[in-house]
Amino acid sequence: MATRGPLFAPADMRFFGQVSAAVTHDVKNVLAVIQENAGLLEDLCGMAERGRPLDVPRLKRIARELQQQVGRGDRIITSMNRFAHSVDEDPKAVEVSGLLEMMAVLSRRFLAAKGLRLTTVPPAPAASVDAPPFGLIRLLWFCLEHTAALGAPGKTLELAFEVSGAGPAFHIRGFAPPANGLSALLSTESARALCATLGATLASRPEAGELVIRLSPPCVGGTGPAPLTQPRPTGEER
Amino acid sequence: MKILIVDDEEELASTLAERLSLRGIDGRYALSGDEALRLATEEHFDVAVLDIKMPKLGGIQLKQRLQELRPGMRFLFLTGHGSDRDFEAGVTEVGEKYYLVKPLDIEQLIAKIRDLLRR
Repeated sequence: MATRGPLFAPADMRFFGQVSAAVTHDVKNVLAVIQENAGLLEDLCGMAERGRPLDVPRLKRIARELQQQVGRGDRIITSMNRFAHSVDEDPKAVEVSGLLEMMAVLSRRFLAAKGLRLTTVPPAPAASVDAPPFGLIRLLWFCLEHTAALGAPGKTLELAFEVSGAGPAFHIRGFAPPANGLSALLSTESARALCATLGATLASRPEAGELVIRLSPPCVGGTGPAPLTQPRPTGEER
Repeated sequence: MKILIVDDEEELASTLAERLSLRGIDGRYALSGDEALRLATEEHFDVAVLDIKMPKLGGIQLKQRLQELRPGMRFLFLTGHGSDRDFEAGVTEVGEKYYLVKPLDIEQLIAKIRDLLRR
């Protein structure tokens, strides 16, 4: 398995910057909502001081909204922290449920800009994959980005992790299958380079609107480091 | 005075509109550019407060569409940051004076609205 190099490639830096900037926008929105709700509380208290009865159910709704925003902010910051650490971590057992949650949080704004949302299907029971965290995130993001560009009839993409006889794999589903398949995407230099980092392969089932990111088995459940394998050629999987 | 707030962050847009209303300003809100265009077709607004970053139709593009629809409408922009590319684009469009960075100060927002309407 590849380890971190001494320096990240410019594309890695660009990716890190883009994701970080998008996340700060989300944090700003959380702060703005908290600010407005705190301001509204102040407004209502001021009106009560001038004789208008306090609307207690309204106050409770505002308090709930504040708590929800704090929870939202916490999820965003936890995900950003995890993402930031992925850069300074060597290959390790990456817990999949947390990874999927992080992908959902980090990609929310990017997908919303395309009118899409992401649902995740974590493995049951819990699983982990041995991988360089940053490389794995980069590959998943790359796949999400390109499948999102195709659009999704149901406006929702699904990112799932499943283990089958063929080994562990992430699956992206729900995008609009392109008429000419995903061959062009799967054979790009970027796709090959990202897969090489992980010993992963990409395959598509275009008729099902599904992209499969297959990892080199065995690498589930903390059973030890995955063997370093050469990436197989990418292509259509039917 | 009638204000249209356009932001895809519903809780922010609705609370801002409510706080304006508590101050005697008729505040309405829309969660997308399309919804804003529909509202502006049906009703007259003096000022539109537009978030720069929204899905499909961002604030800058929406301003142009609204201006075609309602030539007398004035505009303020909202942004999450005061130093990014969108900010620079917005400053070029309306001037730094009519730009607000989140989180907002409502009194500052109202002052800018009043200033716009005096111009």
